[in-house]
Amino acid sequence: MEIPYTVNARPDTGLWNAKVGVWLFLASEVMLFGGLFSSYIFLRLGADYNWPVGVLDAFWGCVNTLVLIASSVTIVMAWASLKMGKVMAYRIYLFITILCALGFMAIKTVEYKGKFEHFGVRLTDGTLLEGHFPKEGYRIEFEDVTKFTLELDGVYPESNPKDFLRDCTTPEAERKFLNAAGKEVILDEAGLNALRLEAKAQKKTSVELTSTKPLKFSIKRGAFGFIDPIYSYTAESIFFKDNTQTNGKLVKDSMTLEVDLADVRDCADAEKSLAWHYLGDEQKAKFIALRDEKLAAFKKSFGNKEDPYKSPHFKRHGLVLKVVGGAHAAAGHAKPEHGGAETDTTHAEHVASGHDHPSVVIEKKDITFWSNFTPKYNTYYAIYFALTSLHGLHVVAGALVLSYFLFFDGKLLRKDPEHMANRVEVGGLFWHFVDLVWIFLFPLLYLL
Amino acid sequence: MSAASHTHDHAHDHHEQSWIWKYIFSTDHKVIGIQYGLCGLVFLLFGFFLMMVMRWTIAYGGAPIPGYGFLHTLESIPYLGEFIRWRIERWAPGGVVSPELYNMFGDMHGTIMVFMGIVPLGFAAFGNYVMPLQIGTVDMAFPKLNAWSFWLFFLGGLMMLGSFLLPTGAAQTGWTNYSPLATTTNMIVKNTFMTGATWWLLAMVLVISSSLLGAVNFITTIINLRAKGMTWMRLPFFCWAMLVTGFLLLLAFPPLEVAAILQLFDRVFGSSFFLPSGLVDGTQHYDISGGGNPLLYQHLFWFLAHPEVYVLILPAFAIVTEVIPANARRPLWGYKAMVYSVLTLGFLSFIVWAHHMYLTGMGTMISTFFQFTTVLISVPSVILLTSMMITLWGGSIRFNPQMLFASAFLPMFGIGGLTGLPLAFNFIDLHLHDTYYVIGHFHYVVAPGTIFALFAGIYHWFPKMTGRKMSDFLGKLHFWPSLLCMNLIFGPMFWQGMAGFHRRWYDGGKYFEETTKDMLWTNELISFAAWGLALSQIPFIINLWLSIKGGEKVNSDNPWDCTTLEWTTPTPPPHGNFLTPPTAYRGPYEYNVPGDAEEFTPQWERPAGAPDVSPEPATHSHAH
Repeated sequence: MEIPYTVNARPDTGLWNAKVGVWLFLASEVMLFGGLFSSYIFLRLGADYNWPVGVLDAFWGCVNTLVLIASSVTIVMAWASLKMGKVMAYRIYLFITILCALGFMAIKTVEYKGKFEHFGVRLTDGTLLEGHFPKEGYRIEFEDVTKFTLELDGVYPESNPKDFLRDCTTPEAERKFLNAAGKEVILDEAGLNALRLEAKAQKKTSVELTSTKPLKFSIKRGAFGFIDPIYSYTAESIFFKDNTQTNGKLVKDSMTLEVDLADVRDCADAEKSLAWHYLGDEQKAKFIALRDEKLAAFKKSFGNKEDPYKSPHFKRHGLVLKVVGGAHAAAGHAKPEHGGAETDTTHAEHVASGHDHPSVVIEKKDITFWSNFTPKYNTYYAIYFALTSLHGLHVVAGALVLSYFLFFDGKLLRKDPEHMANRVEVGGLFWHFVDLVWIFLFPLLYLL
Repeated sequence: MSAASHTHDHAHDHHEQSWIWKYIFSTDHKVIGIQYGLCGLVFLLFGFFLMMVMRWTIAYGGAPIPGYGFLHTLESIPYLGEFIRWRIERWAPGGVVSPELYNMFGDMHGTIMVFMGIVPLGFAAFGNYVMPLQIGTVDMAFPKLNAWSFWLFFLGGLMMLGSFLLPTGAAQTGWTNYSPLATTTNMIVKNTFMTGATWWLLAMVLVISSSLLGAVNFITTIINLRAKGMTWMRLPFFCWAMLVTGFLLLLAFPPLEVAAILQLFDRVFGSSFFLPSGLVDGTQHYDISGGGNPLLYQHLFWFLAHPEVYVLILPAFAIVTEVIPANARRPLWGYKAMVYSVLTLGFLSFIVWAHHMYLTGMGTMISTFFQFTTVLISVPSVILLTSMMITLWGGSIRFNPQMLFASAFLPMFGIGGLTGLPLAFNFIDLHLHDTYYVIGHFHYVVAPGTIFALFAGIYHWFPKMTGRKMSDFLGKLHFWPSLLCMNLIFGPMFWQGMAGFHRRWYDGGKYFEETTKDMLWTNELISFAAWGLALSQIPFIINLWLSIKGGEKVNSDNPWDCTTLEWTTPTPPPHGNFLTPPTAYRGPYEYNVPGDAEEFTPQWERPAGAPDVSPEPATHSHAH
């Protein structure tokens, strides 16, 4: 049994099967990305915040565009070479195409990494501060943790010492737990089982443990829900994700941020923004100078007829301050626990690496929302990641298919070059589509 | 190539396939069709079971499910006992269905019936088995891809079922899984990946991918693999309907995939695609950026889910248009009009989706537009239905089980369709939205509509699949109680809906006894009818299994005297289907054509005087 028209075209339709198939597949891909692009329009038109414009590095975006366009040319050359029987040229062109795909993904990876390391904090008055965390990130610290309520009902999630003691800073040797009867409990598998039975005997699903010594916790907060080890905390308690609850005293809850941008567009009174409370008068003066300069420029262009505060363009340039300089002074203020010498080296490093940004300590009470530049940060980054990650998956899939042609299809190439050329044509059509999607993505996300 | 390896290759080509490759991981369209069919039937039964439990709660909320005590006696059995203690007892303490379980079952009933039951059975099973035979080809255009679609679907189905065993249970937010509810339920858990709602989304991504591959395969096969002489206007209507269904799946499913992916982002990465600013849980703000829009989800969802309605109904039309002419012994009336209607229907189905959203406040202008297109789409539907009714005119009808089911389909679908008209008008929909009226309406379309057509298809093609007929008596014992129960279930729902019964009431409306007390008895009536419907499926199940080995043997390859190409293959068709490549010489429905000597003339019958077209020479030979 043999399927007809796998290699040669059917006379009345003029097409071989895979060509029909790939065009249909591309039609469905158009609907997939069409849905995503429509979502972009929907979200942007309905955004109730300042839609970020020009926040991505257009230069590298442009390089990526050129890389993909070049790869579209080489894939056609590969196909044409194969059709003409030049097998070596075919292999070289195909190889270049795959290299282009890898180059594209490498640039994309660098771009993604930069986003993951960049944080934004929305303050209670609407001010937005953006910047980087120092190495240790955002940590909250608890002391005097003595009481643990373990949930042991057999239903997931169930208390697990690996989870709720992960961030305990008291050395393991010094931890000692007593149960309600005052007996010591070893928190291993057997000990937990004994506790489970104890709870069951009392017809309860939870048991209480007391630590003989007050424990200390230092918990690193993750911006993602599933990275974060805790559900929530108050000044007196921690609620871990494995359902364990503890008492305790919150001793430190502030975030250190090396600020590179202050955005006061949504702040009712820009001059009284919390940004200047944290960044100091020097930056405030810079901001006022910038705003007045832009206001004057706006007046010059539009006179008094138009309200500059209704112009997104003015707001984007006049109310958003790129914060540079003052790393030394602010860092000294922010990290009193650090020695002066250490601060100096950090400062020198910052200046040398071009990251001369003031480091400030922001109190939790002033923060309404914070996140790194991931889908959580706002709907712009959400759709940016959705679109580019799906596009990236297509690039990877395409590169895998082309690599298969290059490295594992030698048998077909020798036996039936025409069939092989058909395959390359189908792969090439898909590759052109991937390129085309990027040509829409680039202006939409990087330029507009 | 050395002689040794050549021999090896040769031996490999003629190697008898082992059982597992022949029946489990087969790439033969017929085996895959049957796999889809059996899975679809099992899922239908499971979805129906969920509904039977829900009907108990609606009628007798608060009382333990009958037979629960027996379940308790099994607690000492290892594994099963654990399962009962931790899974069943958790959601149904003491046998009383909890609201969470009710919601879970409601969500899963819809999802399983639509995506795991009807679509695999109607489109994938019948389409796979019958379509390549009808167009006279050896297999689908991409047999391996076909197997991949099945296994992706199977994996998605298993995941959907597996989500019941998760600590959070299965998804609980209705089969539509609207945000923000679906995004925020069970969002704050140890691991967002291990929640029912997340598994629902992942399973949907698998099922959607499976459908996309299937659709590409179907359309390519119909376009490129038709037999010699099988011109477009000689194509059986079955294949036309499958072609349009394929296009609906191909173009409508991707936006749902987008919706699923974006909701997955919302759940797992904490984004706010579908979450507006200022969303609070009690008094606490969710830790999200906000700025998204719940309406976006609904648009993306219904952009699929309305064409999906036609994905559910077109395979039913496809089957009925084969069964009715064959058993009325009349040509299909208005074949061309039906073809153009089904194409129009396919196109229009893409621009009616927002009639599911009249109540969202998207604006009167948009509502009016969608009201207009919705009314418009009833025109091609009516043409299809009317053509089938006229086909019966003057026929000498054989009332075998498949014809009973097919002819019952016509009025049942008619009721479903006509009760949809009021819903198309947004001022009436405001009143009826989310009531039992809506449930009654679309179940008339899908349950006594599509499912009856699927039964008709099973009775009709069973002899081709197995070489034996199903029992006539058991078939009728299946049909009549089913027809009665279906109407007792869904008929009173119109009445309930107009009385304001909301579709998501867990207690069937007892909480609002003041206003519902006169109507509460209808809940019990419907529930008993549902359980009666379950009983009336027993003859079918017995019939299906016993007839495989014990049914009456067919004495020809064409036991129903049909005209389409699938009846010229050996019975059951071997791998590769036809002994010689078939040729179509005429249209597909030549029954009792005036002036013809024969009672019926199959498509493969060469007209007197026509040249004997020899099979095409192989264009691509692999001679050893």
